[in-house]
Amino acid sequence: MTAEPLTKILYAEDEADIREIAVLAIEAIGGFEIATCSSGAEVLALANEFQPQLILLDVMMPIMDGPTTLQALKQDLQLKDIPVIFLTAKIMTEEINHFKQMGAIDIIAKPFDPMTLSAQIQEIWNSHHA
Amino acid sequence: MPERLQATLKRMDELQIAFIAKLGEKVKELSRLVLQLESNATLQEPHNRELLQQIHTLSHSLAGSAGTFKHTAVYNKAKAIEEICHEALQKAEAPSNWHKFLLEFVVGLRGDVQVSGRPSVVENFSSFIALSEKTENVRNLGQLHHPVIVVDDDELLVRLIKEQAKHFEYEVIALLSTADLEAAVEKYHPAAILIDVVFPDAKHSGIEIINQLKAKNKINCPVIFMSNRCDMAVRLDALRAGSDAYIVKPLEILELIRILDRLTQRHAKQKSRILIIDDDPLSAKFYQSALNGSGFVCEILLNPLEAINKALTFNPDCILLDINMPGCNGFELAEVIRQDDAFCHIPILFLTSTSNQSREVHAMKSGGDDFLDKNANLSTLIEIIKGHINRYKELDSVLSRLKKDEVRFRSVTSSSTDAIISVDEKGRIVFWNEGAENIFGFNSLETVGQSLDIIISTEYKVEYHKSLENLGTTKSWQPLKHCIERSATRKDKKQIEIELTYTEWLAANERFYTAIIRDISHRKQIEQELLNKTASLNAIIHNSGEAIITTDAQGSIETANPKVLQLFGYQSNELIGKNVSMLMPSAEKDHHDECMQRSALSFPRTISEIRELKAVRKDGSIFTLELNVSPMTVAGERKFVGILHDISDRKQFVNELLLAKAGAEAASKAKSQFLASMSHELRTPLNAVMGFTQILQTDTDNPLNAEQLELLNYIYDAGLSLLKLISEVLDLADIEAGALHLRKEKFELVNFMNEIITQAEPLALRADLTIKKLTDENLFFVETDQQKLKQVINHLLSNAIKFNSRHGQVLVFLTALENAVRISVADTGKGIPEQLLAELFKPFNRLGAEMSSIEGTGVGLTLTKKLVEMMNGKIGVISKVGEGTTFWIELNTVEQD
Repeated sequence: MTAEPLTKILYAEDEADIREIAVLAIEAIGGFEIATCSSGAEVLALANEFQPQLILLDVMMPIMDGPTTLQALKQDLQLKDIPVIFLTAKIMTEEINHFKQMGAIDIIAKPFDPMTLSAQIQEIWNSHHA
Repeated sequence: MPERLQATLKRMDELQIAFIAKLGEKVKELSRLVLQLESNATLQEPHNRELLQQIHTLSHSLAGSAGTFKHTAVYNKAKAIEEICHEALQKAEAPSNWHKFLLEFVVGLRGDVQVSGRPSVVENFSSFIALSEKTENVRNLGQLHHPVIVVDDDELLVRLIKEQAKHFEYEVIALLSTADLEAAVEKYHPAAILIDVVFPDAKHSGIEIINQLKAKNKINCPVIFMSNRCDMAVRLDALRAGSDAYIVKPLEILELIRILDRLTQRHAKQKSRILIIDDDPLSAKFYQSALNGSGFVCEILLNPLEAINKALTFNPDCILLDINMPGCNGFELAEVIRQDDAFCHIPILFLTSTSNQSREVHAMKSGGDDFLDKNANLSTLIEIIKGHINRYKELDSVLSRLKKDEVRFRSVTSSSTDAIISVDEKGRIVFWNEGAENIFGFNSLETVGQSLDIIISTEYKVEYHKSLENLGTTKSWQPLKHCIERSATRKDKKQIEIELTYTEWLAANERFYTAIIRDISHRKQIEQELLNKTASLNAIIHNSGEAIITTDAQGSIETANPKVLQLFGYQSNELIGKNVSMLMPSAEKDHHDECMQRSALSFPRTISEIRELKAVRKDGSIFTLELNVSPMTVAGERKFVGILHDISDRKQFVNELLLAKAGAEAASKAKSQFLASMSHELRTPLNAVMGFTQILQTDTDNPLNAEQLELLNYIYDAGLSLLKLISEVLDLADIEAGALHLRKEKFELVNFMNEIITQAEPLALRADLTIKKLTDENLFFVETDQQKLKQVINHLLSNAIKFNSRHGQVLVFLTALENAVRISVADTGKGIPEQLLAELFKPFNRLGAEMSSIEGTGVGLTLTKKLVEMMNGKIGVISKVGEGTTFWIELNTVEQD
């Protein structure tokens, strides 16, 4: 079954610099529509409003980190089915499995390569729907 | 590149520049916090924990940004700091020098900030795309390709390097003079510069120009000098000019590639791997973080017993071992690791916090390479580790190159069907390939270490040992190449013929000789057979009773066997190479040329011609030759083979025969003429005899008495017989003299025959025989002399009547043939035996009837045959003893008018 085309992505990242580069990478290079916020807390509200097809979460965020945000999403009836990808520096296999068990569909390693970020997201989206 | 993408990249570059600008501040803040940390403070204290938390957060943020903006140096260090803080916070304790490490990283960061402004320290986004677009058409995409600049006035060398480097995926920019170097460096940003030391214009030597460019800060890449000179002075000059490597000419391309690879870090883009074996997880983690932050990839092994397995899978470039481990101390572990073939070269460094001389010695003995003091500076540790790893990698690459060479060598020697054998100075075998095993029957286990004598034939042993001695005394080490044929001995003692070449080579001051040997026994055998065949062929020609000459297509004599020499009276050297026309008198030469030409034209069909011609001997005498020439093609060239017969004798003989024949014919003619003239003389008196006899018989005036009349009858009959004989003989003579002519008429045969039969009836009756007329319904027409035919038939009938048995029969019948008719006259006489049939038609041969009472001249059948033949007919006889004889004649029939 072919995947529905991916167009809208929500990205939560507390580092402004990283956020800016990621927006450029995802929007200009990848051609996706992107909405960003800088903390886990803002994610739910933004998600309800923006209605993304995919959510990118930085793991290490202050106050409400990535995993916590994910849990919150899962408890929201509207938002629980939206696929979530973690961005993290920890990429050992055990940790990836741990994240997947939590409910994320995949991991993208930090620091990411802006040139290939969009392609990585697209690939994960395709294989998730395969 | 699409505009939008270009704009995006530009924006990214701007962000990068902004980050670099803010970097200084962030690092400053970080170092302030780190300095506030007290080195001996416990991590239980909330104040310190608070501080540590802040440092952790800050370094995490810094690492994230630096990574995103591709500032690898900052990223590594910030990450290290982050991890160290994380561990410390988690475990609430830290190894003793953790604080020192943090300080060192911070110092390092400060240094990074200072150089961040310089170009090519941080890769910006636009250039990344631009460069990778350019190299899209170059193989090995994914790596940034900067070309190598080669500067040398030797055009051929530069071209050679450029060609060969291409095969190793190096693009070479070739320059023939130093004048263009500066511009080229600016334009191409080379990955390395390879430059000759000496140039024809002494003012601009290679070293000088590099010095100049470095002073102007133009050179950011490794520099390699090359030269014919290898003395210390020039090497020092080169070193002082900042050379990274020095190559002595003649250049070996593989060596150059190796150096380029090393200097451009092409293969070492991969980070070096370190395996940390330490049972203390905290300490291990700290070292891991610290070393990762310094650009290594580290893995931790907490259980020393798994060391070998882990090493096999992780494949480290270096192993750090903690000495104090329960269960298995560092020294023991080192020894065990060293025993494994895979790790006998790997650097093993011991981590220790105490300095103890005896322990250090022990460490070295157990196979360790160095001692690392945990209390030392991180940078010191790193330098020591890097040093060991670099030397290890060098050794490793040399070893793997050797292995590759070895494999390559083996593949050549294994696949060769020739024997490849190496011996040392003393003639002992050090290498023996599969080809040698096949040819000689010994396998390498039996031969290595043995003297080469085992395969040298007795007749050559002395020669071999002498040459071994001689070879050892020459000073030069240039390879000698000789190719010779010898014989050798196999394991089964069989002698074989071999062809061998050998070269000498020098390795580490020892001389070796390698021979490549081919078994040519088979070839030799074939050669010998060929020689034998040729020899026997030559012998045949040489000893032949026939005179045999061979010439080329132009008639130039190539070989002449002894019979030829005998025939013409020449020596061999007087004939070979001369044209064959020298053997012919001038009159013949033109004709011969014609024949040669014709022969050449009809070459494809190898027709042999036999002809007679005159030939001239050395002494000038002319004789007649019979010549049998065959053209042939030998190795694509046209040649002639001639077999000559002196036929002078034969010719003479033939001439004599012809003369004799002429004489015989003349004699026969004379005889006939004699007979013809005699006829008149013979007939005249005979007519008188018969005439007067008849007068007396019919005289009515003076009749004779019965007795007298009977006597006169006898006289008359005798005369008649004589007359008949004379007629027949004369007829024969006429025919032989060609004086008899036939008068041809067309007539019907059946009627004709019956007339004759009618006339013969009384004669048959008197002899008490029956004869019947022809009853053919068919008619046969012939065209010939009636009178003569009558004569013939009469004669046959008369014979049939005369040579018959009592109450016998004479049968006459016609048989129709194709365009002819056969007339058969058969009797029932006693027949004629087969062997006498041939004599029948010979004159005066009455087959024994001469003595009988049967009359006959003995000429009749001869005449009959001649007459039939004159009529273009045939005559024959069939007979069976006891039954009878049938004479037949065949005549051509004609159409009825």
